[in-house]
Amino acid sequence: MDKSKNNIPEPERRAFLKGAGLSVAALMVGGLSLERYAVPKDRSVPVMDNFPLAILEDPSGTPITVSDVEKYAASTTTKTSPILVFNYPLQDEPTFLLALKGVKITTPKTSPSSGFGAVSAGSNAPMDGIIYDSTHNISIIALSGICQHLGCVPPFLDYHPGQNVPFESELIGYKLNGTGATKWPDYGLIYCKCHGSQFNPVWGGRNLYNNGPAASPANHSLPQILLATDSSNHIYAYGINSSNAVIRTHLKYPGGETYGSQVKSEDLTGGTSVVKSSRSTPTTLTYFKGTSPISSGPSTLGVNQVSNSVVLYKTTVVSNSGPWKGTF
Amino acid sequence: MEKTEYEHNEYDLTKLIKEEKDLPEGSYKIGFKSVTTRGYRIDEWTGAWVATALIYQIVSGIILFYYYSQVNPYASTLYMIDNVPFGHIILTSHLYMAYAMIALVYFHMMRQWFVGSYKGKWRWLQWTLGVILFLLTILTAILGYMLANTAIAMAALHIGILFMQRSVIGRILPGALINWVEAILVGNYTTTATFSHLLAFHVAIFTVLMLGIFAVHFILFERSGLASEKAEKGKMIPWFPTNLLYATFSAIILVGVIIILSAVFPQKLTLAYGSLEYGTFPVPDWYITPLYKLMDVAGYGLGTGGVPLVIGVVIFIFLIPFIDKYHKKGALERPWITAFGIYFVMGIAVMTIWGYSQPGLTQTRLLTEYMWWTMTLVTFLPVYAMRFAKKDGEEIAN
Repeated sequence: MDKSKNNIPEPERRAFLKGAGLSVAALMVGGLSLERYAVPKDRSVPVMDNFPLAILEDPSGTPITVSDVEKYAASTTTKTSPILVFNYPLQDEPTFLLALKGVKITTPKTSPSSGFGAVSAGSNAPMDGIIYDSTHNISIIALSGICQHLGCVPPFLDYHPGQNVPFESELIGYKLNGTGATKWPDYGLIYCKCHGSQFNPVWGGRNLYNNGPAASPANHSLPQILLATDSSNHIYAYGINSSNAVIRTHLKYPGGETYGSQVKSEDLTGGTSVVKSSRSTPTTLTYFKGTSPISSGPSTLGVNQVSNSVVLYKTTVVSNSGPWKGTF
Repeated sequence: MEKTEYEHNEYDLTKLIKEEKDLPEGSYKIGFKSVTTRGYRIDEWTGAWVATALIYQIVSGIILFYYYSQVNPYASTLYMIDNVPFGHIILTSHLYMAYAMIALVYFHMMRQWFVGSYKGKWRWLQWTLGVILFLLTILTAILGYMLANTAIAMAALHIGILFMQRSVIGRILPGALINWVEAILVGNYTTTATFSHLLAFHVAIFTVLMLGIFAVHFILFERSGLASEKAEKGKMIPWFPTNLLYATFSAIILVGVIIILSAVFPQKLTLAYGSLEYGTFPVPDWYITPLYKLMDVAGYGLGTGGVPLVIGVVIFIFLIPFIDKYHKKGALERPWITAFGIYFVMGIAVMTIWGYSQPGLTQTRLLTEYMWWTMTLVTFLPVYAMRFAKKDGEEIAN
């Protein structure tokens, strides 16, 4: 063989590259035209019109009451606290149910752009959608258990009370008796072990915590699920506080709104609805909104209705220990 | 111009369908060639082990497929372990052979990288197809790990989907395209739809693609022959029975080792999705941790820095036959390619161990930079030093 002809034959290579490029382009265009065969019709379509009104039950089907949850309340001296989780607004969308003793969670004053921080409660009204027991000074708040960074759920994302610093957060510098940035907050944090995002439940709806030794990779707070009670102190979930954040695991397109009007339709797509309850819909519900508690019929809450009557759904509260042990 | 030691690349693909003339004695026309004794060195058989692993995965996968149910993924996996005869060993060996396959793919790839056997004849095409096979192997493995519906698997799925949306992939590609890609992966996101889709990809789509590309990869190998030897009259060992027996025995040894390991260390199924147990956490499988860690330590954040970096590395590996302009074979004759290869191996190892020991931890940019530059120094410096030493030695000898 003639060794001097060892260089690559240019025209052939160019022709090959051209052919390859054109084939890839054709495949992409052709693939797009097949979109309707690959994308199911119910994709990106909300499974119901509005957020469901769901009664919280234990795994045996008995509705839980405010005092049942208060038994689990975490205070500043708590070392371990059983985690309570229920699915809302859809199945497979875990939500934390947290009771904090000795704190009144109020509406945060700061706007999302000017940073987050603690708000002194004083005489301010409790935050919209929490349950506040003034007799025992206990706040019950429900926060989405889907990390706002990349969607990790419990047990990767979990609540560690004030006296329980998880090993993973020690790696970034938190200490039990630390000072300044290294201090593990009095009521602890919701900490994500996937990538280290931190959320402070005491801050209510705007709970993204960036005051520690390392910043949270998440850039939004955990969405707050709104809670109400009936005359027997049973607990109901009835929506998401749209002034804060959206559950972002199923945004139709990336960059959808993080709060505001799109929240509802985005949050109710891509999944299975929670189960309908056979109980009768309560006639009156009490909830915190604005400056004083409101009692009204459920139809004023803007929850899901079928032929003009509110449908009652149910969701099960499970725990890692205690009487409500189970899977969400 | 320096004379090249390589055969020239063939770009005319129509030559592939022409009948081969002048086959060395002891070869078969369907593509089983005889080789010299050089061909029976163990480092020439890295591809055969990967092929063995692929075949074993298909056979054991078919058995597992009989029992898997996408409606009840976790429960059906537990059923395989508890109720299917030898189910625990089969399931474990399917896992361990997947580990072995990925490790062997890395080994196979790096061996060709250091030897420089990706140039000449059809080898450029064989290499690029090999890179596609490598990606398919990793993707299929990740899908398989998701199929059991464990907590960590679902975390990986959620992360994967949000990652596509929030990284450059989701931001640059049009919304309709990413919506389509997502729909292909999970359908309408209900549990059954998700697992039906993952199962279809794992057992049919990716597997068939892999088998098809592997067939071409293998035929190209037989057409180009071993990169390190030329057929020589009188020295060829007939394909039958030597080559066949060698292949069979090496396959039996690999499968045997995996089955023994599976019997001794049966797999423990980790926490089901939806469980609330606290304390110890499963970390992602070892072949995912380098990717996972690379994303955080790229230094520019998960979404924007990590993804382009990984895509860049893959494109570089894909194009190596065209990037490598050296004319001589041998690791020290191609110094920067070799140094980069060592850098790559070291990087994968460091990322794997780091990702495994400190999964959810973002590093400071200073530490990251320190690590990358140290690795650059310890790979490039010795390779160039050895090359100069070798040249000196040759000059003295002459």
